[in-house]
Amino acid sequence: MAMRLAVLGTIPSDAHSWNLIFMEKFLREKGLEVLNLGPCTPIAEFVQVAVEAQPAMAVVSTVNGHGALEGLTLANAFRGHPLTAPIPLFLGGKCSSNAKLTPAQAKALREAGFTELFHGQDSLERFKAWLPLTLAQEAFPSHSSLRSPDACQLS
Amino acid sequence: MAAKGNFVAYVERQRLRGQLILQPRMGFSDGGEMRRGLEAVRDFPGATIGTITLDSYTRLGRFLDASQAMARGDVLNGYPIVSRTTEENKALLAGLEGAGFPVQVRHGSPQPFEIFQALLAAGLDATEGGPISYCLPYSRVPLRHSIAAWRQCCRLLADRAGERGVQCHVESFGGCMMGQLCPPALLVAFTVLEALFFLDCGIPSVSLSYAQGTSLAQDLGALQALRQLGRMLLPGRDWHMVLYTFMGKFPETASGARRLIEDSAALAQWAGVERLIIKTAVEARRIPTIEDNLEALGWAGAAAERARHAGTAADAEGHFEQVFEQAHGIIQAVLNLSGQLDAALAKAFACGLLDVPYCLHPDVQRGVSAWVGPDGVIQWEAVGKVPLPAWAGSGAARVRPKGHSSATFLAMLDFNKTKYDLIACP
Repeated sequence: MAMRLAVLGTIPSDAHSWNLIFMEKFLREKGLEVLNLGPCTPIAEFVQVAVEAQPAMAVVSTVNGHGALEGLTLANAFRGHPLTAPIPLFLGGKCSSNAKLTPAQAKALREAGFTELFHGQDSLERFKAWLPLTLAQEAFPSHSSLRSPDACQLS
Repeated sequence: MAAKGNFVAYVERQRLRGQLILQPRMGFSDGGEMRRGLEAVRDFPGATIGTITLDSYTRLGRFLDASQAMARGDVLNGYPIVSRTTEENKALLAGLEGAGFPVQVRHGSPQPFEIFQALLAAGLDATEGGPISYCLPYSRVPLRHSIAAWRQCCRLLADRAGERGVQCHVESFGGCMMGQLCPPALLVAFTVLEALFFLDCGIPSVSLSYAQGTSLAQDLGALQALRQLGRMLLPGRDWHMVLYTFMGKFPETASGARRLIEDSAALAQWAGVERLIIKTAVEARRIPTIEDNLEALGWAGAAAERARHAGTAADAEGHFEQVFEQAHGIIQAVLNLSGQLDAALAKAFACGLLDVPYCLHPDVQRGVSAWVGPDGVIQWEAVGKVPLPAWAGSGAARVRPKGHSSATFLAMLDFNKTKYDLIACP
């Protein structure tokens, strides 16, 4: 597993670029190498690149409001491949057409295989808190072994 | 000799009157709503052109998805002109579109063949886009495929309109590349090159675009440079200029958004552009309603009228000279690559003569970047292989930051949002 590499992309219907450019800069600042796959990332390409590169994490950034829907297909494909199944997978941005993800949407996205969701005002701060934890892991027996930073602070 | 199409004739008439044409970016999936929207724009007091903006399924060529979504009763983010029957499209425009109220189809597709067929069948003669501007920022389609597709589409439009005996019109979206943070010289070069491409494909009438940026003085200078280059490089052709209200991150306050829209109208008036494409105050949050669009038209119309009498103190002279020299150099270097324009454009991107800051398309070199100074002026940071005078990369003797942190970058993207929200809530 390439410990300092992130694969970055979006959902197939999302043609926005600025969020991806910002996330690339942000992840590089945190010491990661970034493979930025650009807008309208085909799901097959997202999975294939992650299969080959074996990144420390895969990040889906989307702002067109379709993330809650197309994210499900993406996560299913990602978890469906044995070589990407253990890799932490994050979803962030503006994932639904509303200001908030509904609990049902969030539950479905987690069940489909996202390690954590970052939607709304404090999402970047929360993602920042996840990064050291994600990078500190040598390998993941399963993506679900990652616990949220909040949970760690409590223990 | 073909008669002028509705769009071409209308623009010429308003230009002779010295009247700025206002145009919304309106699109609804429901035919009835689309018709009511067009009627409302037609009935707006002042010179207006109607817009049919297409939905994103149609833009991406996913016509079946658009049909299925409509069958489910889903609301699309635009009018699905390809998935509607020709009869439905004609009924939408019947008794509405004409010499007194032209309608332009706006889309965003790098391979728009079906869209061109549909708008022709509906009896329309004006659209917009371009092989560079509708390919690189939004799609993963290889540039040479987009160039070939746009050539085929433009020929189809020119031929069919010609058979009908009217002059059609295509507007280049090249002056709006990426929506923000692109040096004006590049925007000007892109839109002139796309206009030359359309003319080369047989399109008899074209428009050159430019999107409002983050500095009034720089925008005025860039628009003057665009006018000058149009005169030099499109002599004897039918062409005009179109300005877009800022296309980047919009203010969140209603009064900040209104002020930005009003400033775009004043800029249009001062620069003497023929047409203004107007945003609404709610665009960032939801699909604007007919009322949102009419409200923005009203603000823009009144602001343009005020600007007509007020004048501006902005000093555009230095910006004009810079943008003109840089854009002219870029255009000439591209045209010198090949006698065949399609080959010249593809080659220019392959070798980095043409490049787009912050564009992630695989056919873009990513050798250039830009930054926004405290005064809002967009500066080159890295010039890559773009053929520029030696001083361009030095930020015209300004101090430039050494690489941006993600936070600085975000602040640059937020420049207008921060500025105009502050005006609203000091």
